[in-house]
Amino acid sequence: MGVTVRLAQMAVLGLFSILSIIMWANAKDTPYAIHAIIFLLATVLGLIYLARSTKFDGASAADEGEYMDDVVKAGVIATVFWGIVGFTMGVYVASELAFPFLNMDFPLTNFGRLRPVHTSAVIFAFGGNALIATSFYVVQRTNKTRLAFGNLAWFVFWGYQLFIVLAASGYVLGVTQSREYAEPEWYVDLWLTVVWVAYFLVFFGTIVKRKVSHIYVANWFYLSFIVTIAMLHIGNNLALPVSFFGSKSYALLSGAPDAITQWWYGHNAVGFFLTAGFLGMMYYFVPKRANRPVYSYRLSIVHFWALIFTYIWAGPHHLHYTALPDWVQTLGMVMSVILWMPSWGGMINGLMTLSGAWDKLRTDPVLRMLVIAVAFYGMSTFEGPMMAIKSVNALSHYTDWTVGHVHSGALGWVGMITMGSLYYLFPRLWNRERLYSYTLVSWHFWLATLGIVLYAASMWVSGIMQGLMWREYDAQGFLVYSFAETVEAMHPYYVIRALGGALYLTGGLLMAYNFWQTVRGNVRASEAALEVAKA
Amino acid sequence: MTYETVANYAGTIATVLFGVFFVGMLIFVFRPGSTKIYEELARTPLDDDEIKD
Amino acid sequence: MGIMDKHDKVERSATLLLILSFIVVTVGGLVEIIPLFWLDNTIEKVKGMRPYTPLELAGRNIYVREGCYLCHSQMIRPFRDEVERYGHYSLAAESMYDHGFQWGSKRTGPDLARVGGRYSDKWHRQHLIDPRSVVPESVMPGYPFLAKTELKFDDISDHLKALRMLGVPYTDEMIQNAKADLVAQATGEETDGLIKRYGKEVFGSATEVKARDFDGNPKKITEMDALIAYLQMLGTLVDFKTFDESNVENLR
Repeated sequence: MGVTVRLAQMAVLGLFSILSIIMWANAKDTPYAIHAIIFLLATVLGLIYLARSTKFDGASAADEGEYMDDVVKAGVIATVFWGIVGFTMGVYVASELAFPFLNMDFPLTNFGRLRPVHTSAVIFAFGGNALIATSFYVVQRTNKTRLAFGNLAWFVFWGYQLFIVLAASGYVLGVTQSREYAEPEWYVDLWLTVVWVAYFLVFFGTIVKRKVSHIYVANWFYLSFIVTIAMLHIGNNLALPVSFFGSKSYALLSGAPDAITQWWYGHNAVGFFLTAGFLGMMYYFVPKRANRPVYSYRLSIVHFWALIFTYIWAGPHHLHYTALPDWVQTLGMVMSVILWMPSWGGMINGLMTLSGAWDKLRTDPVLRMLVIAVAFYGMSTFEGPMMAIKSVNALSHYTDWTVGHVHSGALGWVGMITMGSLYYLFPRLWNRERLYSYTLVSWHFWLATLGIVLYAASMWVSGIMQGLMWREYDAQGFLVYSFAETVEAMHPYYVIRALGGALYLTGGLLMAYNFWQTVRGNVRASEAALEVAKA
Repeated sequence: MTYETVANYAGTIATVLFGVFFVGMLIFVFRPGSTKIYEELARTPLDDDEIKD
Repeated sequence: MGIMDKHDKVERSATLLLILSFIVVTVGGLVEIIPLFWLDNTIEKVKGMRPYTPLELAGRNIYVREGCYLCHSQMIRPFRDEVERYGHYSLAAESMYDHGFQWGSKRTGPDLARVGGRYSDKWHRQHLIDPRSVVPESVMPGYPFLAKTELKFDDISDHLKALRMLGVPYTDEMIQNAKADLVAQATGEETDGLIKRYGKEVFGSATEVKARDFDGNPKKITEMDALIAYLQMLGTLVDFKTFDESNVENLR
């Protein structure tokens, strides 16, 4: 890294520090001031690091000959860390619904402020770090070249962690736009935009300087995820701050146009953040772990274009029977049903990649995890189109059925494909022969699967039951249940759901322990003995 | 043809059309005679992990 | 095969792949969102909608801050049971000034689109402080701190200004008197100006602006005052005598 580049980077960080001091000095509300201080601390730490690590003797590290894996290592550690945080928050907010005293009637601990902490922690912190880390790993290997733009990848990593900290601390302090999965206020959105542009540059730059002729399909999925999320993020967060020195802003749009914009974003946060990005993961790690080529490369091409085209249209199914014009609802429903086909095309391609290697499922718990992820993907992408049909949605909307559906996708697909990929990555990144323990992976697999089953089943029952109770009439033509009675009926299912989440969290903790031991270079004694015996 | 009748049938027609379209794509995808290049590409992740100089 | 040969070019050009995939992902959004700004039937023609008063707006911001929208919808669907339970189905016009719509996506608690006037201030106060003391089956968190926290409204006119820039019809007079109007509504005293600016005579609303000491504590204006003022006006504006369901423009 040249000294000039370093100095330029330090100048940029210095400007950000000055900006954050100005923000702090003029802050109109406490959360804004706290955020300015966090921002200042982050930039100062960055400056100190850059100053200390700059080699002024002109010697630049000529490491173009190897992959840039340190940032991937940091990314997978962050993924595990935020995963545990996100699962824990999930279990806590689920328990609040089962046992409301846990809210403690205190602003920082109430459900309304903690729920976005849970959703952002799992989607953006856990999922986002997994996507950034694996995309950096995959793009280098499939293009046979080091990440582009030097240490910009490190800026992406730390800038993204800063975004997470600002977002989550904002929620507990009551800073929110009330847009689901896009809650952070305007200045945090601006910061994420800066980080995202850097992410795009690193990823795209790496593809551009590739040493192979073809761009492998996993990279297409990652690229479309990065580009589309940029579009959605900017489009959905257009807002006017009340003051440039205050946290509150008002959305540019109002009412029905605002609602469709939010769900255009919301559904495609699922479609591109939680699907396209993770399909990129699938197209690399499933073949890699199974040691089999992609089942049909031609199918993957069709899968790609059909999926990204169709997904964008599906947003209106979140607004069936609302004050949104009917034609948009119908269009959204039709496209959602159609979406089932490209989704299953992808699922088939993932599963059939194992053809000729099915026996490995018996012996390799990591592969088992990757495969059940694809199976859950198939299940959720069948359930989703079904729930998008207006007559089904009339029952399911506003109920726990939706929550259950999201979680079979999030815990089953996103969680399992990520954790399977992590099990693949940890020993490789740290140059270990093997994982600390495969038995623990098996335990993790079963705990997580059982957790998902409890979660999804309890939410099916509670969702359908509550939906039916709301619309039940007696012989005289009166509504049978008061709203409060339907809430009371949910209690047992809320307890089971929290239990399911706790199982999933336990699995995550086992995984963290397994990684800790793997990185330290340990192999579980009984399994080491077994290997010796086999040899 | 009123707005309502069009809205009623448009969904069904579009679903059928897209369904046929996707079936056509599947036939196209799985027709025999995959080119060599795709067979190679499908093995991309399995290549040696070393960087190219 | 011709198509695949052409596609081969895309597989070898990063820029082409980028541009094509960007075009493909834009189509759906453009088709579904852009027409909403031009088509006449997006928002019905009804009488009664007015901008939020400064106190209601402050209350709405607390509603947003505490994440109420995560468990309460404000969107009644046109089904027999919903209409009987919550009232007339929601119109798009009713959220036309909601910068940041609050339709919600989950009913862990009941819909609030027409909760205004259904319960007394006292009930709301008690319910917000300790939900299970009035609804034993409730799983709602308690918000006792709202009654203790004084409302910050020094910059309330800036909020009105920002919303006016986004198209909400606040007048100069409303912006100049924002603080006075807020105090008047939260105390129920000297409300002439407030009524003159936001009253039912001006907008043809179904009900008059409610001005009184909402939190039962006349000594200070709290966040509880603001939140209850907001809740008590929800769904009370549109005069449904002026809404013609069968009008083609209102079909949806």
